[in-house]
Amino acid sequence: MDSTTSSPISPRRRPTGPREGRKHTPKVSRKGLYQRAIRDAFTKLNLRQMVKNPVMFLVWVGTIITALLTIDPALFGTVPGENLRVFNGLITIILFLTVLFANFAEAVAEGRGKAQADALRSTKSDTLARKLLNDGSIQEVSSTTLRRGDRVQVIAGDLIPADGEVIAGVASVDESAITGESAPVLKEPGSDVASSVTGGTRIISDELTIQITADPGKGFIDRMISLVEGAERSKTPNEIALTVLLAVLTLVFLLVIATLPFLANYVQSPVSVAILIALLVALIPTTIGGLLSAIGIAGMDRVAQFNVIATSGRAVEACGDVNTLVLDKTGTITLGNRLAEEFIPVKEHSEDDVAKVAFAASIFDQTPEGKSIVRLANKLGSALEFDWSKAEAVDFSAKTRMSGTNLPHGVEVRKGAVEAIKGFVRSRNGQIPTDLDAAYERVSRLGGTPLAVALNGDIYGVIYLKDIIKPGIKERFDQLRRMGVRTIMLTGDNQITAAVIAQEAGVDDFIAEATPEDKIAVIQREQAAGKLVAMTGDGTNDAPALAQANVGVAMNSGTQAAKEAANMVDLDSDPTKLIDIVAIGKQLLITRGALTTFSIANDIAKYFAIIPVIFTAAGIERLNIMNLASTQSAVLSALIYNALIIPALIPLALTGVKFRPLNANQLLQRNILLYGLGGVVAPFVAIKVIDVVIAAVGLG
Amino acid sequence: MDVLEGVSFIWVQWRRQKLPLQLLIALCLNLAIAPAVYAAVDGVQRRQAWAIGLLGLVTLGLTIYLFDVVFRPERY
Amino acid sequence: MLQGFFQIALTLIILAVIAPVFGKYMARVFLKKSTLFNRAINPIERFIFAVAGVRYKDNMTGRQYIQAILISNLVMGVFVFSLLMLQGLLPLNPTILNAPSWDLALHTAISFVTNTNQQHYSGETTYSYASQMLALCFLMFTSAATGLAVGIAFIRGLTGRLLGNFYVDLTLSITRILLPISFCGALLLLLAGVPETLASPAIVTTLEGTTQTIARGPVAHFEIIKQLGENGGGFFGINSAHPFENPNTFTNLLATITMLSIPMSLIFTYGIFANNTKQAWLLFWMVFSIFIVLVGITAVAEYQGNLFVNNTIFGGEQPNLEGKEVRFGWAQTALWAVSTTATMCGAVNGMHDSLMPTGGFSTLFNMFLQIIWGGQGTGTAYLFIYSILTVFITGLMVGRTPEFLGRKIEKKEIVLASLVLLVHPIFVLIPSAIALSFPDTLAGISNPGFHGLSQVVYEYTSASANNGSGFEGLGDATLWWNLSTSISLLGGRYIPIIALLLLADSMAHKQPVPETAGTLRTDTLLFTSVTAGVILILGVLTFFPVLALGPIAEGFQLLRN
Repeated sequence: MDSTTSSPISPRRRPTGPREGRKHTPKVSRKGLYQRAIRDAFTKLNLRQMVKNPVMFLVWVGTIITALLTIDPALFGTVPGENLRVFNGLITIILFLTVLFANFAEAVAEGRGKAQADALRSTKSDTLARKLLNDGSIQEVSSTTLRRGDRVQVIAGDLIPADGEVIAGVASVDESAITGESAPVLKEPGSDVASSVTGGTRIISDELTIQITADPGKGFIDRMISLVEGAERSKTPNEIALTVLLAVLTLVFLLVIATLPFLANYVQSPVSVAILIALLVALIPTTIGGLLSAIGIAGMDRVAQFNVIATSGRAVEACGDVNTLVLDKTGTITLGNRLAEEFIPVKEHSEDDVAKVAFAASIFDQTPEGKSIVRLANKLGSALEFDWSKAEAVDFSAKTRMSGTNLPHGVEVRKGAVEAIKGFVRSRNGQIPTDLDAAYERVSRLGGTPLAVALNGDIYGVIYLKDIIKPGIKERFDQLRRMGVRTIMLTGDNQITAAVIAQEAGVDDFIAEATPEDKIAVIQREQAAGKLVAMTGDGTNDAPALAQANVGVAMNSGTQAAKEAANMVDLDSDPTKLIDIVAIGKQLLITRGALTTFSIANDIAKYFAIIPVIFTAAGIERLNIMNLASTQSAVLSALIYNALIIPALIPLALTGVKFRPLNANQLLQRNILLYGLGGVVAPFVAIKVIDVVIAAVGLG
Repeated sequence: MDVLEGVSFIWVQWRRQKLPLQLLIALCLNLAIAPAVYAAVDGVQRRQAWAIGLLGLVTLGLTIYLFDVVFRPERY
Repeated sequence: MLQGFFQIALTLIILAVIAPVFGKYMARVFLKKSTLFNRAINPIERFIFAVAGVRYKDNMTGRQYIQAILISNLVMGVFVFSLLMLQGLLPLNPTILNAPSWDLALHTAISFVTNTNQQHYSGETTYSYASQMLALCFLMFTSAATGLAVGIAFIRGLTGRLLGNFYVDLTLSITRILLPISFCGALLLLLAGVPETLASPAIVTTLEGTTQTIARGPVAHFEIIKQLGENGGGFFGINSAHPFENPNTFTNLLATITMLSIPMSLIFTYGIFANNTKQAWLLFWMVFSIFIVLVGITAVAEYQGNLFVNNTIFGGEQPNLEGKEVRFGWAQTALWAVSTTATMCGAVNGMHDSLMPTGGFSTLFNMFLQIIWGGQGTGTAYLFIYSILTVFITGLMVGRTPEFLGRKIEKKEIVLASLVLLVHPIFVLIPSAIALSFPDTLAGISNPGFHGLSQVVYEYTSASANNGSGFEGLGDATLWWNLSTSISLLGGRYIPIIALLLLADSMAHKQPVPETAGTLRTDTLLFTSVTAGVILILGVLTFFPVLALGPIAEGFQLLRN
């Protein structure tokens, strides 16, 4: 294995990136988890619950029958042999433990989910909300009575009662309860990103009027709670298919065992009912049957631990199937902030001239780019040469694609996309400098964003905004490629810049000068080819694309519309997390497949342990290749192994099989060796060891 | 009146709780099966024949149940 | 010994050469590409379609395809049943045979319509020439063609094509594959000494001066389709052991090759449909290896013979020749026994009852799995059922929803594929358990003990797998056997066919997923080996107890003596 493949994407990796040093809340309390799980394991013995798990239901029915056989070993006819009551009693106990272990596995998984949910719920205590009535008066109501469309007022110190959209006011909100981000976030109406608030977060300054967007119990936190608790867990498609396969295997073995006594009686080698039940339980896939639901619940729990809210298990599973990732460049592939690196003058202008004009054009620009331009200009010694109180800001808009300042005396300074500035200059009857295109191209080739600056009808030069590719992103795309996932980068940049960034970041494809419509078009194009597409988005205009994508992950900082359209919401607003969710989805499927393979492979050894010794009159002792001590010890060893393997594999079921970014064939090779061959060999060893112990103790 | 209420209570509960009903049907069926087992197998006691009949019915029930799981897995 | 193994090797080499070519030819036929016989056959087919009112280009849905199969098979079954019951009144009955019992006629009709040809009778003393030619030989063509059509429709669906039209596939199978080859084959058999006559049995005076009746009849044409169509129902009671059915080693070679050729070649037909000959070769070698192992252990056991008998009676090494024709010897009988159970042909050239326990094991094992070549058309389809199950189990392990040929395997596919797994336990184990509970009244076993168990299980397995060979030694012409095996015959034939076609239909309508590095390739050595593992484990897991109590226990019993 080469060095790159040995660095697995571990889904337990804490998200890193721009928000280093986050304090990870909500705090999950694991105290008393196991005691509660043991208690739940018993309450789950209820037939109504057991019937949901066909494999374990059969074991449970078997337990009841062997229990009766312990009371009266001759219930179904006289059976030769000594200590039958003890033997049947032991079988009953082991079968009972098998059921209990399976229930315990599920209870632990659910318990972990509940702990997660409790922590979330604590943020969501029932608060009083100030509801704005239509006549403008304020009524105090319980937050649980708020409906979609209601308007409430919150002031500093209040908990926000439910998910909503800010419609008036500006305030800072502490969202650490759900995101773990301690710095307060500014909320104001109208803007894409900053207008949505989440129930359970706290407003720490000023006041807001909020329009509620979720009915009670339908908010994001509620959804997450019901999901991690497993209360609303519906089986995913793969889980259902696997359930069918397990039921069929169980049915086959039930038929085999039910017809066996007739065959055995014919060859005068009768077998007792207790042993038949033991054989049946040993053969049906109890290992995967007992752990299947735990795997699913734990998968959701892992997603939640990652601070992602998924609306369904189906969505998480679909992540494993994703073929194409559609990613925005900014914030995902590059660090969000482009910084001014250099001023490139054109025509006869000097660098200082450019700096001066750029400074003037950026004086009202509060974006990180704008600030960096001012910083760079200051460094070059530019100073304000006009009265800024008399100047007027011209804001950026997607339509004009430029911003700037209107100075006193009708002087206009602008900076913006080169094409936009060209248009502006032409409209002012100015000339386009001949060396502008050269400067534009130079910046683009460096992977930077060129911004042209102009004063009235005269273009002064180009600002080189440097894009910084996130460290480590290229390796992650490499891993994705090996997993068979293509990445497509979307960017508003020009072709040349986009190509350079794409090359440096190692994405497979890119769309330059992309509009929101392009996003949907790309997704539809990929889907038409039968691919599953995942994308991240945050803005309102991402909502249609998020809805179109098979897996849409909205940023928590994004708009309400985007969150509604997505099937997952990332509370940390970290777009690269999509990559981790893909790994979790794959891990979920791998764990199921691995344990199924293991479970079926185990049967070979169990057959070789039990069959040769129970047909005493058939003379096939030579097949007893493990040389087990006696019929009773052989049956007991196989059953004990069968029971103990469930708790032994609970940790694996809960944490999942380690996922490595290998291609499918390498993965298969690895896992088939581990769980297929391992599943054939392990029980031979384990059953022999247990048999030796049993024989030594004298139970056999 | 009490009798009527009792009857209607049992009627409603029957529809709601399937298990007692299924057990009753099994026991009734076994009235036919057990004598057959008793007649067919040598050296078996009446009580054992009865138990074997029930065991057969339980197996049959489990088979039907598993078929149901195979064809309608969403319900489980 | 060397000579025996040389015979086996030669047969297999010839087959390995024929299979890819023949497979390609069948693919051309069903892809409606032009073939050698086009000019001659086209007008005939056009005539048939016009008369039958079949529109050549109509594709059927899975449901329609199933409907067409069930209705046509029912009509043919009723027709043949009536013909058999009326044979006393019909011409071509030189030995003046009366109608058989209704249950025997029913069993015969069902057995032939399901491509099984399990025979609870001796042909020469039960059925007239008319019954053999018009009823049984007719079904030998149509039942084989039905199987082939199902196999092709399944392959079409699996590779994303529409299923086609059953009546067209049925006709093409007969006019372009079964009939031309049968015609040439029958001529070869005639040359080699197989009779083809409508004359009544010959009555001759033997050297001792007594008279002997020698049964004969229209055997040659019956014989070739018996082998080619995996039918296996002999003209005479002792099937291909009869000197008129299989007079010499040449006819034996020809019969072995024709019986293996279609199921072997269909794997290559699939390869061309799927445009993946690599996968076809891999699957071919996978099945071939399992086949070779079974042939090998069977042949070695027959060669070594019964050590107990050898030591006490012969006092030296002697192959097991009990129940064998000396002209074929241990090698050709062993190869035939394994081939006939592997291909669901069911013709025999020796008594399977007299095979060593290893032979009993191999023959039973073949019929349990049904994919070591397998039946006409259906065997190849079962092979892909196992591939689909393997893809599902192992496919999860690569972290994606499992897909086969770019089509996702979901709940519906698993339900249908698993149905095929369930058929055998239901139709073999349950009736076996009933029969063995009443060994005296129902089973009529000739050798009690482990061997008796094998006899009963073999009979039901042969019925459910649509094989038709008999372990023999069983008094099987009773009402119980006729009716109970009829249920196994029907269940073993039509339930899998329904499941296969529904599965194919559902696969055909799936949006294919493009292949990426994350896709599990199914045409690799690794995947093929894993498939072999899954096949063996699933097959062995289901039937290990039966094998243990039957042939395995019998083998150990022999060793102990």
